[in-house]
Amino acid sequence: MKEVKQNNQTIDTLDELKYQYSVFSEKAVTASNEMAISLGNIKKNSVNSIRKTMSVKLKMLPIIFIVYAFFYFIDVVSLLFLIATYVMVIADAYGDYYLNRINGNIGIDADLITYRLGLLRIKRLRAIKLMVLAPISVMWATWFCLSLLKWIGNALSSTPIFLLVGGEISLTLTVSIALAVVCGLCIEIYLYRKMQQYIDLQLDAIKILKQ
Amino acid sequence: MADSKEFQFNRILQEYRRLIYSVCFMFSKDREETKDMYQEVALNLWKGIDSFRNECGMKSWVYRISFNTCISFERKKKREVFLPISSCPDVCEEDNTTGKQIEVLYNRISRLAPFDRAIILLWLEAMPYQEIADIVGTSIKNVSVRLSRIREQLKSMT
Repeated sequence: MKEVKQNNQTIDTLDELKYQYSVFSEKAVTASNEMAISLGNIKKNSVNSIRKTMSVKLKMLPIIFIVYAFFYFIDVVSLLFLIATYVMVIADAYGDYYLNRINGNIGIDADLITYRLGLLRIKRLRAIKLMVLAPISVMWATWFCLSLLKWIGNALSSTPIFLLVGGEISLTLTVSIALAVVCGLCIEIYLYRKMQQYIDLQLDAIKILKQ
Repeated sequence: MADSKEFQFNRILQEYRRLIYSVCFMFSKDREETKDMYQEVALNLWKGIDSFRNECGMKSWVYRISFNTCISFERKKKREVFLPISSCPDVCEEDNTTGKQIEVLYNRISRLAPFDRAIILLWLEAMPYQEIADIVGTSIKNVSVRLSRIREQLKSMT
């Protein structure tokens, strides 16, 4: 008896829903007419979105190359640092380009699950990129700061006491750098874990959907 | 070639505008967002026309692009601001029976998970289970199980 009642309720709910949808459909015809689409705007937005997918970093490459070459020529940084910077910037830009290419290849017209899995794959790759590049970036920044301080010290021909003590890095500076590295790594691990949590949640949702 | 693309695009928009609007409506929280989503779907349709190969049928293709765009759009928006889905956008603003019916429908569907929303919308559009399965990327059996779960959910909402 209870089952019959439940079935009736289901039918009632669905019939009601179908009725409501038919009412909505009629209204939607009129409302969709008001959604004026200008082909000119679409074409413009299409070009903009292609431009957006080209990494900003890629466009910045020549400027970065010139700035650090300049630093090298005025002896702020060593040749090793210059090469390391170039390698890092190129690797980062290539990583972005590769991810954008995968993004373009997923195809927005794929079925819902394939598309979602494709987006998650990109997110996972971004998380890996973050894990690899973040510690290197922290090291690079520290190296650059030290080179810059050394250069300033040399340029002033008298070593600033608060920075260097007898040619050695002062305790304050060492502690600051250590703190910066620890904080940087903590933020990075936090971001990575957040990304992973999100990916796992989404994958669970897809698994449930596929079951 | 460009003219033919424009012609095809206009034809798709003309033919499926109600369908695109329905999807955008169910995934948006207000009139402005419906408009933005509609524009975004139109943009993706324009970008995708060249790669369209009549494998799944035009209607299914438009549905896939609309759902993928709206689900992604909704996900991005959620990350920016957490706004509760509470009010029905646009067409149910009218204070009459029609508006109220649409508001009830919107409140029911918008409380479902994005994939469930897609499945129930396709079912309401009287799409065959096979096509629903193709659009979502799952099996017919799965669609049927999912639909019965959605029905249970909807029942508990009322």
